Amino acid sequence: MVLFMMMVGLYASARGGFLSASSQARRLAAQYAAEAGLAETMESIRPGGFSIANGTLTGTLSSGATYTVEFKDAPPFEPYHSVNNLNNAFGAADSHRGPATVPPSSALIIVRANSGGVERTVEAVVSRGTGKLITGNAIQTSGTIQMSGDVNVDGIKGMSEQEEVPGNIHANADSGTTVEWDSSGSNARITGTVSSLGGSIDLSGYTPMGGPASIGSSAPFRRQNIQQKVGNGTGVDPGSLVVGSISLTGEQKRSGDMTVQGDLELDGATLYVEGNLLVNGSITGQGTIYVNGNTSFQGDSNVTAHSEHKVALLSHGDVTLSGFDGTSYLESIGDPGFQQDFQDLQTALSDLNSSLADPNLTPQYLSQQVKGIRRVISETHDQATNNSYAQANGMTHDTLGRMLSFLQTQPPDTSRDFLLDKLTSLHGFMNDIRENDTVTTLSQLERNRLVQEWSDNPHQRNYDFEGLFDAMVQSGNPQLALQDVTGLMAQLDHNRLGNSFFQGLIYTEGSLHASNEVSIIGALYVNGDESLPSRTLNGVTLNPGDLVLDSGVSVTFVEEFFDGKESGIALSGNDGLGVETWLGR
Amino acid sequence: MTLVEVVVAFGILAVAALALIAAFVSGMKLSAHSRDITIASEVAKQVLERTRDELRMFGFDCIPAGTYSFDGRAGDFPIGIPPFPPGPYPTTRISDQDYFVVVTGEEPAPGRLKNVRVDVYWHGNSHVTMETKFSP
Repeated sequence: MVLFMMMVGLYASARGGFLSASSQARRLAAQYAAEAGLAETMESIRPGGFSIANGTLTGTLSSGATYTVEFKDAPPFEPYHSVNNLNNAFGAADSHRGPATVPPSSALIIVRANSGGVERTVEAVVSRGTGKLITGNAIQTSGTIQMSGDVNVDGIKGMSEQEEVPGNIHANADSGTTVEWDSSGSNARITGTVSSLGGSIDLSGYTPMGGPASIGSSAPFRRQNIQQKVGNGTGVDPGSLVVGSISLTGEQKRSGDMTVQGDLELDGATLYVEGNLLVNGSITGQGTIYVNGNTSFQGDSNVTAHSEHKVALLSHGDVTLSGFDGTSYLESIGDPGFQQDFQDLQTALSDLNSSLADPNLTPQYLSQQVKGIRRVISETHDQATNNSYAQANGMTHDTLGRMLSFLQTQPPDTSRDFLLDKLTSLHGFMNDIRENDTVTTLSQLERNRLVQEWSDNPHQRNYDFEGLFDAMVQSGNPQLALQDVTGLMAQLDHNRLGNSFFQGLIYTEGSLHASNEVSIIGALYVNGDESLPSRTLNGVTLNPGDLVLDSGVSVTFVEEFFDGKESGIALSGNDGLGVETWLGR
Repeated sequence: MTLVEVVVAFGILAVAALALIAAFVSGMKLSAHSRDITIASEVAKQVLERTRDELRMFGFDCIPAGTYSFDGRAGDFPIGIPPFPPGPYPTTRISDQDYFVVVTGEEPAPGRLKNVRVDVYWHGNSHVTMETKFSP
């Protein structure tokens, strides 16, 4: 009898164990089914512009597990009701968790799943802009890195908080010389580390500030599926050739090649280019460019006062940065008068920046002393006799205007036209403002209107605002003038008028070659696709993943661009939609 | 006690003993099956979690596009860098028991959504299934 009882007990125990194991397996399967439902929901709400507010999404997996998501946009809420607040950037929405519990630009998604009779619920807050590049390096490649000229690699936490973070360089190449810097006559400043997976690193004896170069580590490199994104992308066709500046909004798609002879500005736009992209100007604004072919970018010194400007340029093919070297062009002009004006212009711009950077700068000083400097740069009406700054420095008014007149007499070519375009903008920006070119200055009302227009268009703050500088320094809003003019002018490097400038991310799956010095505020990533062909430039073979910087580079890594938060550059699919917080998993 | 009584007694005892042995064997089998289910679930979970990690680190392309099938029982090789399917594919051996992994999937929304189904087999056709979907 005892033996019988023991056997029955053993069997019951084994059966209980079996039921428990089966239940656990079904519970795990239900959890994965719920996560499948979450992924499908994120995909489903994207094509409609995140517009699903009411309705039910259901799905069945091949294993038989099912999931359900039920959206509701108004109370009363049950614990299984999801709330879509993705289209509301300014206010939190209510949910079953209480009032204002779904943050702006977010959705609370609750997925109920069932596998073999076992139910599981997953609850998460998803939001836009959570696409992450899992890397903290300023420059990262899957191939080799070759650098010549001055190298400056540093980093800051964010555009509005200048706290320093290390500027690192890493190559995932594992043989040969993986990272090389030719130091001849040049300087290096790397505030972080230099590392590679294998091979050797040759920095011509330079030791980075983050410690000696190291071998043996591999950095994860998230691949961006550019081909597929371009293939799936839709939008308005911007045309194959754009002459002059263009501002794009919304979704744009070019089926073939695209050439922009001027500045390309993105106002929250996404641009898909099936073929090659050539931009003979600057790329500014906020948005993303996906290029299936090769990208050639001839940037310039066009600057922006908007700290939130950031462009993600993602190219499946090779990237060539032949940044226009305006300084060399200007220095090569042999006319003594032109060179004197050029020298005075640089001095005036330098003095202007110093004055604006003065912490004791007052509105009075701004409108009086700074005005004198401005007139040396651009003033088409008055002479310099009453300008104490010009008199003290032996300068005359309108140096930039005379330079432009001289450039007009030079044989037309791309370089001259390019510089004319850029310097004309700067001249207009700095010029005295007159009504109908008469001696009557603009009224205070008109000045304030111009300043207000600038203030109301944060994505278009550039030198195209004719007379803005003058209007600002004499406006009725000196605090705005101080803040914005200082911000804009601080980004103008008087020593390098005309060189490449890029704010955001450059990412390519081919190789990257820069023939002129490039300045990047953001990051430079080369993640080679081995199926792409190699190319040869100046006798050097570049394989996919290789990076060659021929004439120096300055990269300031901006951590907030890549931290996966809303202020960053959104890269992954679902328009950067990702899980912000798991509330139940 | 007569011979008949002895025979009947032995008969009853034998039937009882057989029943007890059967219960014991059945219990042991259930116990072993429970252990197999638990281990197989853990193996399937590892494959899916490693897939998730690699997707996070290397991007959506680490999961094959379109429809695919990798059968660990047939010795199908993983493909790509990082290899897909990730370990413990194709097989893992725990306590003298082999667990074979079969990974199948499809891409219901190209570039945006991929299914991954993991079946873990042992003792022929016994298996557990875990299935989910991934977005970039």
